[in-house]
Amino acid sequence: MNSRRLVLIALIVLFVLHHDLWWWDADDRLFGMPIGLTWHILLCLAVALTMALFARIDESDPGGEP
Amino acid sequence: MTLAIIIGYLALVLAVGLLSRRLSTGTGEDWFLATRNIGPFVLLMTLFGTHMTAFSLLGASGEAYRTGIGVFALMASASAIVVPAIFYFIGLRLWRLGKKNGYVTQVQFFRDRFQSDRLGLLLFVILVALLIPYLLIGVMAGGLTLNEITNGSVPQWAGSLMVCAVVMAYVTFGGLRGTAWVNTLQTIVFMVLGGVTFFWIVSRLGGLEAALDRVAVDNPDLLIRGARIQPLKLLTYAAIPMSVGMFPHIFMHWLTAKRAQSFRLSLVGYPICVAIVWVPSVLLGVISTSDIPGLSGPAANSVMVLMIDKHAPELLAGLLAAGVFAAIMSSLDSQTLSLGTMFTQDIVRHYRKAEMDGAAQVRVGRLFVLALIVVTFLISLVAPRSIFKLGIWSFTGYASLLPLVVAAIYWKRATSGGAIASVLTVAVLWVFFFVRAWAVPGYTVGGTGIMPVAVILAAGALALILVSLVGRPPERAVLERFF
Repeated sequence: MNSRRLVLIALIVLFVLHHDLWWWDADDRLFGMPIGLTWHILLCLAVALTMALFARIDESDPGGEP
Repeated sequence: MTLAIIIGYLALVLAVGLLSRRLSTGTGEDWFLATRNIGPFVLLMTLFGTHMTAFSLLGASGEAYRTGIGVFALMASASAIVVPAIFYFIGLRLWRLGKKNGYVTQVQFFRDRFQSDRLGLLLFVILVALLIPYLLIGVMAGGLTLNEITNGSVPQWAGSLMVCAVVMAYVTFGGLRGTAWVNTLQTIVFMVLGGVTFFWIVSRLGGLEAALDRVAVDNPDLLIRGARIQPLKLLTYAAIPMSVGMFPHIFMHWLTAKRAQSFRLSLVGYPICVAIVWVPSVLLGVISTSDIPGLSGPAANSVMVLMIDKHAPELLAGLLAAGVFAAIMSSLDSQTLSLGTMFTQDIVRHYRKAEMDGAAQVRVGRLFVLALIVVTFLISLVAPRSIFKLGIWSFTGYASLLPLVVAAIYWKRATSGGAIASVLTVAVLWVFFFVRAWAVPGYTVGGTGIMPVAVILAAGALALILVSLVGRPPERAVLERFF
C-alpha cells in the first residue's frame, strides 16, 4: 500500500476516534485532566505520530505526487 | 510596566522584520515569495502562526468558560487532524505546481488550471471579500485587548494603531521574508507566553488538580461534553478547519517552501503546536469559572485578562499582551501581504497591457499593503463590536470553497463551468445562511447541531460535479501540466 493511502486511512480512523461519544458524559480523570480532554490531546499526538511514520515525501518527483 | 513590555516587544518585532531585509535578494520574487527558499522550521512557525489568531489565547478561554472542555474537541483537535491532512494532500501538491508553473497567487493557479479569466475574477472578489473582515477583527482585537489589559488607560484606537504601524513597517520593508521571520518569533512568543500564563495562574490556585476539584463541585458539567455540545455539531464543525485549504495567505506560505521535504516538520509539528497553545487556554477558561464566576455572553471573552488582573497584574499582564499582539500580528501580516500580492499580480499585472519588472511589482505591492492597512485602521474606528461574529463566517466561506481546489488537483474531469457553478452556489448559500444566523447565537441548521458550513460545502461540491459532467472535458494539453 502506498504511503498516501496509508496516511489517508490512518487519518480517517483518527477522525472517527475524534467523535468519542463513549467519553461524552465521563467525568473520570486521566493524567490529572478530564478524560474527554486528555483523549483529544492524545489524538493530537497520534496525528503527529501518523505523519512522522507514514507520510513519505518524494523529493525527486516533480509530477505532483506527494 | 505593562505598556513598557508591549512597546519593548513591538520594537523587537520591528527590529527582526527590518533585519531580515539584509537577506533579501531585492527581486520581486523575494518580496512576494522569499525566493521560494524557506526552510522547515520557519515554514512550520509561519504556517502555524498565520493560522492561529488571538482567538486561540483569549477567545478559546472565553468559549471554554461558557462551554467547558468540549471546546478543545470542537475547535482544536479537529484542526489537528484536518489541517496536516490538507498540508499533505493539497499544500504539497500546490507547492509542486506553483514551483513548476511559476504561480505567485491562488487566482493565477485556478485561472491557469481552468483556463478561465471569468473564474479568476470571480474568485478574486470572493477571496478578498472574505479576508477583509478577518483583517478588521485582528486590528480591533489588538486595540480592545490593550484597552482591557491596561484597565482603560490606553484607548482602543491607540492599540489598533500600534498593531497597524508595526505590521505596515515590516511587511512593506521585508515582504514575505520579513513576514516569515517575524512570524517565527511571534509564534514562539505566543506559545511560550500562553504556557507561562497558565502555569503561573494554576500554581496560585494550588495546582491543576485542586483547581479542577473546585470546578467539579461548582460547575461539574464543564468537565464533560454533556448537553453543551451536540454530537452533530462536533461532526460538522470539523469542516471549519478545511478553510485552511483555501486561505490566500496559507497558499502564499506553501509556495515559499524550499524543498518538498520542508513540509515534513509542518505535518508532524502542527498537531503538537495546536495542543501546546489550546490546552492551557481551555483549562484556564474552565478553572476560572470557580475563580471569577458570573460572567456571561461576550464578557466571558475577557476572562483571561481578568484572571491575570487578579493573580499577577503588571508583569504577566504585559507578557500576555505581548503574546496576544504576537498572535494577532502573525496573522495580520500574512493576510495584508497576500492581499497586496493578489492586487498586484491578479489585477494590476494581469490586466495591464505593458509588462512590469520586479521592482515595479514590489512598488505596487507595497502601496497596496500600505493602503489596505490605512483603510482597515480607519474602518476599525467606526466598526461595531458585533463584527467579531464575522470571523466564523469568513472561515465558513473559505471552507466551503475547498471542493474547488480538491477537484482542480485530483479530478481531471473538473471544468471551468463546474468551478464557476461551485463558487456561485457557495456565495448564494453563504448569504442565505448568514442572513438567517446573524441574530441567532450558536445557530445550527434547523437547530439540529449541523453547522451551515457542512451544507454549503456539500452543495458546492455537488454543483461542481454535476456541471462538470455535463460540460466539455478540459483539453489534454492543459491537463498534462497539472496531472
